[in-house]
Amino acid sequence: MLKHVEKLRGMGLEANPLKDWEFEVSVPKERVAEVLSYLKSTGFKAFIHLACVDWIDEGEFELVYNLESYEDALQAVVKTRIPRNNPTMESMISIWGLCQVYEREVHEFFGIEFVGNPNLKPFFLENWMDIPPLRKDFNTLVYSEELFEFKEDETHGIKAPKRIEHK
Amino acid sequence: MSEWKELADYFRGRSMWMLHYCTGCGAIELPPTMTSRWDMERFGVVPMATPRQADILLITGYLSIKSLKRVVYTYEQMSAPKWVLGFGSCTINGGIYWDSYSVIKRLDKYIPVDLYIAGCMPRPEAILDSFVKLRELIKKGEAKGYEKYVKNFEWYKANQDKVFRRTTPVLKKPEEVTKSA
Amino acid sequence: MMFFLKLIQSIGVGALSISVGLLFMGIGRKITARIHRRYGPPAIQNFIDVFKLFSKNSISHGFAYDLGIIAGTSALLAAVVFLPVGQINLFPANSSLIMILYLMTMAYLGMAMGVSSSGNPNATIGISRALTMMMGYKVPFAAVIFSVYIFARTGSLTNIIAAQSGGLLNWNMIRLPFGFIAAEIALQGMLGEKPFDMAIAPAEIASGPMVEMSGKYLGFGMLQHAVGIFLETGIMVNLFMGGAPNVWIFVIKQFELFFIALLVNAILPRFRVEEGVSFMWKIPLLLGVIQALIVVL
Repeated sequence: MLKHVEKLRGMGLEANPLKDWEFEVSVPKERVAEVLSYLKSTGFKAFIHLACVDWIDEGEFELVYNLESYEDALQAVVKTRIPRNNPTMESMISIWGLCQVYEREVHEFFGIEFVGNPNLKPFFLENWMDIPPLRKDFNTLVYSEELFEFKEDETHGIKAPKRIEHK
Repeated sequence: MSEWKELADYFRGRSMWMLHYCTGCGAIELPPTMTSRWDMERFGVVPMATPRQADILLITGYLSIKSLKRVVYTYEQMSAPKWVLGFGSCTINGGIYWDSYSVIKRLDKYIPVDLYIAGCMPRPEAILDSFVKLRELIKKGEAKGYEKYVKNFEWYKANQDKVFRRTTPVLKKPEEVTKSA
Repeated sequence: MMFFLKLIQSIGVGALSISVGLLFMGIGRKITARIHRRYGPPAIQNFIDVFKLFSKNSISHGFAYDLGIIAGTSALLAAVVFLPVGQINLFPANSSLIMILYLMTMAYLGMAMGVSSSGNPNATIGISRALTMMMGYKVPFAAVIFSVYIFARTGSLTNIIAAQSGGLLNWNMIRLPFGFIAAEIALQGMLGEKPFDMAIAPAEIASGPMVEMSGKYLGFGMLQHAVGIFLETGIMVNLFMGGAPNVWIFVIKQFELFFIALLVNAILPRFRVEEGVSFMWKIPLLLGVIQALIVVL
């Protein structure tokens, strides 16, 4: 594993081993495609997951690409940061076709535009009109109180549940 | 006529065919309830395959907006008289999803629920107890959720449409409720 | 006068077949529960179910749907009238086996017409499985009937029963053992018990033909199943167990056959439909043909 880390450091990137079988590498936004295709050529053939973290205090989104090499039993975590006020990212479809679905999900829940992804339609949410729900500035409690408000409504025969006691 | 009603309710209470809508973790409580440890068939409760054949709709756990839509379809396909059992805390007030943006909080607002089983999760004994309680309610003529649904149809539809077919954002001014960065 | 007497007697036989069939279904559920080490529902549970179903609202899917389900139930009830039940034999001159089998097929076709018009794909798949399976078990059953005909030299059930009189050793069960085994396997398919219950697989096709049935329609479906059990076990009793001197013994003999089917049902999983048909066309058909050859030669 250390040879991968050394190689990546040699490319001028910040790479750290995390565990015996895992290392992370922080990449600037422009070099993500290059690093991912490099890692793919060295054995990290499987794209596992694309995650997103909202660093609201720093005004940035962090995209996390998880890769796995089945031959060497290693995992690579590729991280990149993009500005929060204009979240656009290059699509990785040309490297892994699978990215299409993950990018669609991240687009839906964080509102990140993936340039080059042909299908960014809503995936899980139906009829969604507010800001994307997994952003930290989305107040889920206010939202749910607003949408699912419940008042006891005696006029329609809707009463508060009564407890049925045991005899 | 009332004798006929009483007789019909007697049979309805003793032969309740159940359709279980297994959304959440509650589904795992049903196999022991059906099989030899607790054996719900001795109360005349049998799992059924389709809503057309069923008398009870058992909602086991939380309902997201998407699955609520399917539950409403299912409920409207069942033929009266029909009853709904809300199973677990999630159907009462959202349970652990109390502040979630996608899980409905109170099932009673969208379809009429005749009996709630509280708990997270209720054990099979509680499910069997609820069948016996529902039988008593049917006998006393108190479980009339299906009539309530017909009577208050506009109210229920308005509640459902508020969730399914909203045309404006829920949070009116996002910047007002936004936490400051 | 004679006509009205026969009519009342026919209604009586129909009612008898429905109640015996429902009781068998209830006892069957109880026995299955005990095999599973459960307590099980009361034995009259199926009567309660039928009364409840007839007290419910029901949803029709058009004229053909109503007609098909009524036709299915009434064809089976008509078939029961021609069946000699113990000392009750309403039409001794017409109790032809071919006619009874024809009416049973009519019941299936009526059901097929009804449930297909509901438009639910699961119902169509279910009824096509049922008809395919019928093709499977009717062939060995026909071979068995052929050997019984040759053996008794008559096609009337009344005469077949008469030919078996005079003790246990005269029963076709003893005289035609291979044919009896083949017919038992075919009976398992006719009753729709496991391993041949692919038509009503609740987990895969949502109970097949019954998928769109609600309330009274499902009640008619249950009645049809009850009459079917009575009729199919009744044919077997008349063909192989020498009929019966009275109704009670007839019902006890029927229950023996139903009990065997139940035990097999409780422990076996389900065939796929092509496996079921190929099984039927191999072992029971072979046994039936062997029996026919033994009888002819």
